[in-house]
Amino acid sequence: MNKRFWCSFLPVATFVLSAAGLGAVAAESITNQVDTSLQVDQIIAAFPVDSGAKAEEQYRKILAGGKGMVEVLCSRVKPAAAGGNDARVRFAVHGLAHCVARPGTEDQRHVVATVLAEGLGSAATDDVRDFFAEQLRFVADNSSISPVARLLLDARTVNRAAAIMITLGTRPAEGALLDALCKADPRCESAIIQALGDMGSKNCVKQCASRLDSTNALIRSEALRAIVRSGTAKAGEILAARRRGPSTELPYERILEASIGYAERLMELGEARRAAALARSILNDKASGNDLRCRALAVLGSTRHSAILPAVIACLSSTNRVVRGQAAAQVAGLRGRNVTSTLAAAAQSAAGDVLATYLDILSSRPDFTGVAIFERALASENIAVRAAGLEGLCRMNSAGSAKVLLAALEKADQQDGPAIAAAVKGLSAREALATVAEGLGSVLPTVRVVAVRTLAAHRCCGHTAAILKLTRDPEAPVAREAFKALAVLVDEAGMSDVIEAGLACKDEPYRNSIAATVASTAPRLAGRSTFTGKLVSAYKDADADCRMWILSLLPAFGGPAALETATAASLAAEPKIREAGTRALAAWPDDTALPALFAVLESGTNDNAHSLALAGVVKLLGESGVPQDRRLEMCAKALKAASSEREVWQILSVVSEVHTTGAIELVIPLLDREDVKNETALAIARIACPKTGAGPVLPPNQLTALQKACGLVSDKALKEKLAARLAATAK
Amino acid sequence: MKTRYTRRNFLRTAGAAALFSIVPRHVLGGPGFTPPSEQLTKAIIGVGGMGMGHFALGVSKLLAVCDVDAKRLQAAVEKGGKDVRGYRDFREVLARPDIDVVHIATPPHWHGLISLMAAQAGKDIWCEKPMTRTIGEGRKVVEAVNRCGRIFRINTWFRFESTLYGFGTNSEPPRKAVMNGLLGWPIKATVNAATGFDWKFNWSGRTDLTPEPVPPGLDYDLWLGPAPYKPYHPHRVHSTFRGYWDYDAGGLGDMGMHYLDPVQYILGKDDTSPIEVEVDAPPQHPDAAGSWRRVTMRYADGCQIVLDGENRDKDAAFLEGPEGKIYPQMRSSIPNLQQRLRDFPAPEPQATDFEECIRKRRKFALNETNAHRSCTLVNIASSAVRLGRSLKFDPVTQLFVGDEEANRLVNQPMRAPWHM
Repeated sequence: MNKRFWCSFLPVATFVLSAAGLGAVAAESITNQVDTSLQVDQIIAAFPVDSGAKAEEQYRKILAGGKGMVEVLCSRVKPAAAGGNDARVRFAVHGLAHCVARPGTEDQRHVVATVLAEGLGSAATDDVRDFFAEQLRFVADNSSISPVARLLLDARTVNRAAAIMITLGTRPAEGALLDALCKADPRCESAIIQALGDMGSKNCVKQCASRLDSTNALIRSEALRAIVRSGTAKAGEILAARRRGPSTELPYERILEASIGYAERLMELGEARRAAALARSILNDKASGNDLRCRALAVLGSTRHSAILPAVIACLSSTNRVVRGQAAAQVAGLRGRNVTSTLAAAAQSAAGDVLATYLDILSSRPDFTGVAIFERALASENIAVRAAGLEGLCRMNSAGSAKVLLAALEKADQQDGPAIAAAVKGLSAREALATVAEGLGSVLPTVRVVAVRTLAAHRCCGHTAAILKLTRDPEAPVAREAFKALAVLVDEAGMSDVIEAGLACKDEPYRNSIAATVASTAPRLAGRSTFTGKLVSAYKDADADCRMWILSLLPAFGGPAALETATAASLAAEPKIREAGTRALAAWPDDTALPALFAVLESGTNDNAHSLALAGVVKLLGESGVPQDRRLEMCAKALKAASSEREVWQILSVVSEVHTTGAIELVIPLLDREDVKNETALAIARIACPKTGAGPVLPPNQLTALQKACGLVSDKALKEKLAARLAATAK
Repeated sequence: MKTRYTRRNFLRTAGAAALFSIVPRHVLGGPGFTPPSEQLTKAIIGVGGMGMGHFALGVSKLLAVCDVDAKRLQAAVEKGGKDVRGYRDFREVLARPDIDVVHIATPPHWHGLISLMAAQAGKDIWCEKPMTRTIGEGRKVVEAVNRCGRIFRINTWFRFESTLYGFGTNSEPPRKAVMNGLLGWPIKATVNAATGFDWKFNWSGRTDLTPEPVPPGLDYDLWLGPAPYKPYHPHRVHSTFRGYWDYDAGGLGDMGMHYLDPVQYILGKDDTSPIEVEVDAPPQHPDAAGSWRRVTMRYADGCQIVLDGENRDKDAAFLEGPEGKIYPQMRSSIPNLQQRLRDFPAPEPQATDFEECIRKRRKFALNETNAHRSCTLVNIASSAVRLGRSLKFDPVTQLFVGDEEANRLVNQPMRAPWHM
């Protein structure tokens, strides 16, 4: 083949081969696109998922597909107005954004941020663009700034874009905002300036200053705020100049408000001295309203420096309660003896509401101990001053303040008494309560009552002995209060004294009150056997009345020695003692008293003691943890001893809680007794059909009796259940 | 003749040196008479379902109501009577010098901003829960309220007044048990249907909203306010707005402060926040808040709060410590708990008369500081639910630790022209 042939053939061949190669590449590309698309479809179909792990699996697939797959996923977001529901896509994109925004996933995050930023430019509708911008806010980094910056110039997107810039808060983001500010139209300008203000941009001051006289009120306002938020020295100069020469657009009041904002910003930036100087000038400015004065006071107060005291004291005399309150709040943060003494000196010349404020302040200062000013306040004709005096004394919570309050209580009329009593009750410090305890010996019953009540409220166990004496107080309200107090105050040490007091007294109502106190106190005390020993030993030599009283105390303590005494008493010849003994056993705190109670039942007596014993058995069997078979055995014994239908009913109530075949067999014979057959039937139904669980096996040889029981049950639901069980058993 | 002391709250709360109060304002003007100069006045901003309930709260005289929905506003003006004026824009309400207190009953995305603006306008504030929608907003409210010397209360009351759900008692007995060490330390508190709330735990939004025309009478732009612009759909606004992240945080945002604030009080955590949160929840939709299963928050000292959204641990104790447990109805593993509680004095009384606090410039029991902490519990939990991952939190800086994205939920920029 000649050269000419090769010259014509080679290009053609090359072209054909290239075309074939390109076609193959294109075909492969199309195939890949189809594959990616199908994969994305599958991923989207998986959403929403019910767990983070399942979602994670899908995110991994998307990220494994690289930027291309993220792009395909994002391209599936559809405009909300289009009508189709793309919630699955949005779940996936949103979840992906959160996934890559986690710490340690920076590379993947960058990929997603890039795709979202590109999506902002290509989004077909505001809604889709908005969605991308919302996701971008979570994953944006500095690389997102350029595409996002373009949106700052569009009124429809400027808010979203500004939010992203604020979130980034970086120097490049600030730069983008400043660039955009030069090009933006007024509709976007205010949002951009606001973003610069939010960021606390220091470089925006010049551009914002030129807008302070804008005809657009919003731009003016945002520019002023951005200047304030910059916290720069230049901003201070601008505000000072405007304060000297206000304009119609920015009146003096507005500049004053901006100035306090600037002072607050300076405090945030740690420039306390400059902030305080500015705040002081605002405080002294006659044009400052109460709201600005409050803010200025807060700036001064946050310096925590006692140099602010004169300015604050001046505000404490304000006629406005909010300003006074704010000044008082700032004083609270100042420490040092000279501060307190200066305030105390200023308080001497104060009156009315201002004095009341001083009383609040002084009483809150830990280094202030003088009570004379409060004593005088209690005698004031001004109710606010008297109230502040009372509150202050309570707040001071010292021996001195307690003394003043008790003295006031002694002099108080019926009208003021309750408020003073409440103030006394508010005292809680040890020294204050020690002084209150002195009131236990007051000649005035009211003071004694308040002292007892206060000591009880603060659980001052150290005064139990003195309060115990007051249980014999001739004034009934004092004695009542003392008994109430003992119920919460008596501890192991005090219990012996209480018992002694009861033993030493022959007065029955008094002994009953002591018994009630012991009953409510003993269960929470440790070492109860100590008291039992004392009572048992006293029992031996006591007269009948005292013995009965001692027996009534024994269940509160329990224990073997007490049980022995009560058991012996329950079998005594004297009916009163026997009854008291049985009553004690019936009230026993545990099932150790059961044998003794059965002994009473078996003793054949048919008096009160018998009824009490049976009631005791029923109570203890119902409450105690006696095993079921043993409980059943005791119920059988009790049934034998039962002397009336009422007693049988009581025992049936215990048996019906024992869900065993034996329990059914025990009560079946009672179906033949006309007086108890209905209750027996009910008990059988309850045993056979418990609220939870299957119930015991029904005795097959007793089906007729059980059928009879079923017929007697009046509760419809229970009857149906029993009938069903019987039917099942019969099968 | 001296005027008598009769303040019932003084008697009730005496003992709190810094908190109690004595004299009813009407006394200053004579029995049964309130001097006009002492009559506190209020405005209600947002008069939907919650806002209408605020008519009856407190004793201040109502002067103004405000709503962006003309229909609701009209109904409120009619209910208010002749002295009550209606406003569409709350800024006009704040500009009125004769109003002492503003009640904020708007959706939560407005709470922080209106609170801050109200404080700067010299108003005291009674704000609906949740206090704020983000932790950052909460911090700014705390700063503004203190800076401006205002009195603030949040509208939940379980820490001091009402019976705790399922308890048959208020928070005092469990607080006594915890503070006096009867349960030991640390404490785990579990909130679920059995021990508190099962009501509105999961309040979800819809994921299929297609734009609809804004109805006449509704200023939708002002309704959105600082929230990002989203096309109108009726499900976004009024009674169903809680299902959307832009305005609230579902049932957690709605009820969270009610059930978390008393727990925070009982545990004595009013001045701190948890250091970590774990969450079990399905991934969330970008717009609509969804359900969640379990959130566990841990404090630095080992105390935990578990929100059991599925009611998985039906028999869990409400409060559990190494030495004892307390269950609903104050049942306890501690023998004679009620009797043992009698050994301890009552917890410090709380200042619960809001008007009295305003007059005396005293902090209310549930004020901006502790309410911000209990709202932070809600916001920590909702951030974890939203991001679907465990987070660490610094109670001092009040930022998430080492998680930039989570911190983008702490501070969320507002739509212009709104800012805090």
